[in-house]
Amino acid sequence: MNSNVILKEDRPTTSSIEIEKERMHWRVMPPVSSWCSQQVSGLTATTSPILEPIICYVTAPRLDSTWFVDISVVTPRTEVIYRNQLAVERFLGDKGKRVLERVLSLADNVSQEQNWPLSYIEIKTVKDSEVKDWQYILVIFNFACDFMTADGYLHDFYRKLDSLTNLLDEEEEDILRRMLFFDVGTTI
Amino acid sequence: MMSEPLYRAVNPKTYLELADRLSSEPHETSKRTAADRAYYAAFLMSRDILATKGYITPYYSSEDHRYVAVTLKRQDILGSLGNDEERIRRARNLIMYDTRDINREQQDARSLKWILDTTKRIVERVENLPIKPPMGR
Repeated sequence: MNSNVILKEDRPTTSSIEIEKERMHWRVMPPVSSWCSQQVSGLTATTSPILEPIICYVTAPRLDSTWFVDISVVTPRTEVIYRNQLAVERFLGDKGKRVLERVLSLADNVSQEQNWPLSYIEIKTVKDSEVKDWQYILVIFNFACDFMTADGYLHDFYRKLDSLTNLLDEEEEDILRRMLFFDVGTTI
Repeated sequence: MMSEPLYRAVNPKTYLELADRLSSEPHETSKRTAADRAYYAAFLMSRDILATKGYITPYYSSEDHRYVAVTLKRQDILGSLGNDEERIRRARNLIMYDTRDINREQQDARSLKWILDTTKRIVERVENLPIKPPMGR
């Protein structure tokens, strides 16, 4: 993760030692059957955490080799709410699901790094009634701020998304263009 | 001999000018029509400019909505910013199909100012695209 790189680069060379290279906690992955179900606007929604290991480097003054501190921090991650997760996954297929996971992971990282007031991410399928067979996945970033501020966050995200696009293969890039669209909502 | 056309060719830029004019009128019908014309300005100007510059070959039908939305997101065109054209479309769809009150809290509810500003930003970016060099060069 980017934060690791920053911490590594910031690490002083003489006055501190790396006391712990700790793989921080994975978010506990409940069995699918126990995932929380809730009603959102009359539709059944399923929440699931974004799973990603958090690796943290901790530095401290070189005092005593026994002076180790056990630090356990669980960083809150963004909640993702699907409106009909099965339909979303069926539409995307395996490769599409992997692209979506990368996009969500990117959004989560950007949100953490830039302290976005991101309440949750909503994912749903959209059918355009005016165009035959036009369906896509809409990813909505719901922010606890006014619309124009949220719109600015989305435009920041576009730049990060363009950087990600450069790392995708041709098929993945095609999926991102054709199947995934983005918008914002506000919760206040 | 060709008969006189029922409708003469139109430059979709005039839709944007019309949307601007309508946006300053107080009537609800004018505001909603302004939003509709703004979307069509963004869509049709993008389509026609991309065609003129060699990026696409339009269908000249409703198929072009999807074609333009997906094409604008290409990295050599607008990249992720192209996503905004589809945001305008969803806002327009809500405004044109739902004749009831539309509240700020509703998904896809966007102010007319945002719709017009976003349309102008997209059009400006598309107008500044270079002419695509022919394949094989």
